[in-house]
Amino acid sequence: MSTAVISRRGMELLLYLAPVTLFYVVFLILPYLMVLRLSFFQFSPMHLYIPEFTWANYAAVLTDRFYLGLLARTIGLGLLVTLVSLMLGYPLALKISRAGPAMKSVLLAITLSPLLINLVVRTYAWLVLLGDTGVVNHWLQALGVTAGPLPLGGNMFSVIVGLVHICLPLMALSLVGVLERIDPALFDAAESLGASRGRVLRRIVLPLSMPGIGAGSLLVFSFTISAFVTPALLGGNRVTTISTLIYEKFTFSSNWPVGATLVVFLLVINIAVVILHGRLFRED
Amino acid sequence: MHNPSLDVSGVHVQYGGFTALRGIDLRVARGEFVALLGPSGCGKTSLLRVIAGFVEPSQGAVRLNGRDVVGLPARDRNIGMVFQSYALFPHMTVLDNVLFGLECRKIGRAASIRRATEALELVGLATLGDRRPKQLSGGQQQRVALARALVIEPDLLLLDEPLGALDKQLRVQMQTELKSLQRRLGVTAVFVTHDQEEAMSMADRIVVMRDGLIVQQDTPEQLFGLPGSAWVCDFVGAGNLLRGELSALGDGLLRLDVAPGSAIHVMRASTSDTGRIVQVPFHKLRLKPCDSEAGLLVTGRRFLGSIVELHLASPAGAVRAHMPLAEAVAFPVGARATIHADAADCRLLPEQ
Repeated sequence: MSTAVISRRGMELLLYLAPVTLFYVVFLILPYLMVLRLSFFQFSPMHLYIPEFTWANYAAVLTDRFYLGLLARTIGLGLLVTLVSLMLGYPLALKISRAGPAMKSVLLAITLSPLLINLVVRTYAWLVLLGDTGVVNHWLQALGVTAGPLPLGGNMFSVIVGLVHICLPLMALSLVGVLERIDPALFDAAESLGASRGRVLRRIVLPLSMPGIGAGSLLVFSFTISAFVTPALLGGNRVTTISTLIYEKFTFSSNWPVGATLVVFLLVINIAVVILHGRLFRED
Repeated sequence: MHNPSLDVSGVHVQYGGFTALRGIDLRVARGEFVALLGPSGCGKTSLLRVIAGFVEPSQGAVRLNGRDVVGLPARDRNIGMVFQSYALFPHMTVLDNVLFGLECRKIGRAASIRRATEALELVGLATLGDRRPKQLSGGQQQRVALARALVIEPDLLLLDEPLGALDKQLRVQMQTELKSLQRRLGVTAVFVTHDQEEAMSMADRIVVMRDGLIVQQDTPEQLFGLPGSAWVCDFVGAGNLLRGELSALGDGLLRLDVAPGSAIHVMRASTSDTGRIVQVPFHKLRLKPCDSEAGLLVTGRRFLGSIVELHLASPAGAVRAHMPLAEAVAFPVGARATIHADAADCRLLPEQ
């Protein structure tokens, strides 16, 4: 009888999960497999690609300093945006997690506001603000702070600003969720034992919020290294990341096999980060 | 009280528009074990938090060994505290939890480990130092919390419902242990509880609180034997409270006619005695079988081990009587009885 129950449960599970499984197989797994196959094909200027197996694309990416630099720069960008989001998001999340109900809703609404604006609209807003003739430079010069325009737009700086703007809510929310679950009596206990605020933060709050730091960093890093619109628009053709180069390979230079190889690299990095996160922040 | 360890005077606490404490005066002698007892919302936890330094009083003074500590942060008060949830640091081992207070005091590693190990030995957990709190039972966690609070050699030990999360059997065992440990170390201690049994079994003195005020403070024996009001009597379960018309019989003797055949006599202690409610301890109430309708109906009975508790309905209020099993067999549920008591065992109590 118990086996009948189990198999009925199994059937039920299958019924529930079949639609979403089908969706992901058709629209995610299969396209990825096609891209993977493409990355082993030969490039041909005439026919886009020739379906003959080769390691050449991987060899090209792994031996060319341009590609290696690009990989390093993209990972560096991911790390930097993650770090800045963490530095800005941690104090914010601490404040939100300890605020009263009214203050909490206000702070959360403000924190989430970047996610409520359309990606393209938000990005163009940054272009207007950060350009050479943009709002910020206009006022800096009008107020006599600077003589000429500062290089705020169309470079790494504006890309980082734009990415942090989107990533901050992801980071802050991950942290708030974890910080709120810490028993406030722990802070009282630490204080009654003689701990200063700094020590409470260092020895109690920080270690207990590591899962939030891990989850937030994972989200932000993966988002950043895969981001396309923000680096493409705010970088003003001067900032290249894996994503923008993939776009370029599939469109302008029409080198699909190398583009597909870069997609595989991006995917591998993301999977590696997820595995690393699982190792580092495993709950005991 | 000469040179008290803790001296709280005229303390008021307000949270927004709500007044949690309305003028508290409390002195605790060195080595004394005091219970703050009261229903939820009476202000006992607020008082504990004022003493600990987590809540600033809007008025009044708190002196610890003669030093005014109002305005002094909790971390500088050298008070050990045991929390209801234990508040053990989940990411640290048992030993690291106990070491934390010593680490804050910048005591050397070797000396710290020796002291922490001693503290763990004191509570019988010396072998579990490298476990995580999650791996311990509730009773063991409670002991770690105690060791962590004691290892800093506090001037005062505060305990917030320390045994509230334990099951009954363990609670009774921990009551005995906690009490003997406190006595052995001679540490001054204040604990908060809503459980009158727990207060009775551990405290040298019980401070009964209600609506932000102290309504009575006495030794458990005195509190139980001589509650100051009907409310305290009811809260600590010190006996029956009978309400009704009192008729004067002369020489200060009063009579309360509970029902035909059931009269309770009580002496008015002094002319200033304004009490209108008669207290009769459960074990002092005697029953006589009665066949007529005038007798009080036995509505229930409860075995309490060596004695039986009988419940009777009366016009003066529900009545309980404790008696040995051999006597109780005469009064099955549904039987009728008249109630009696010696005037010397009864007292008049005011409502509040």
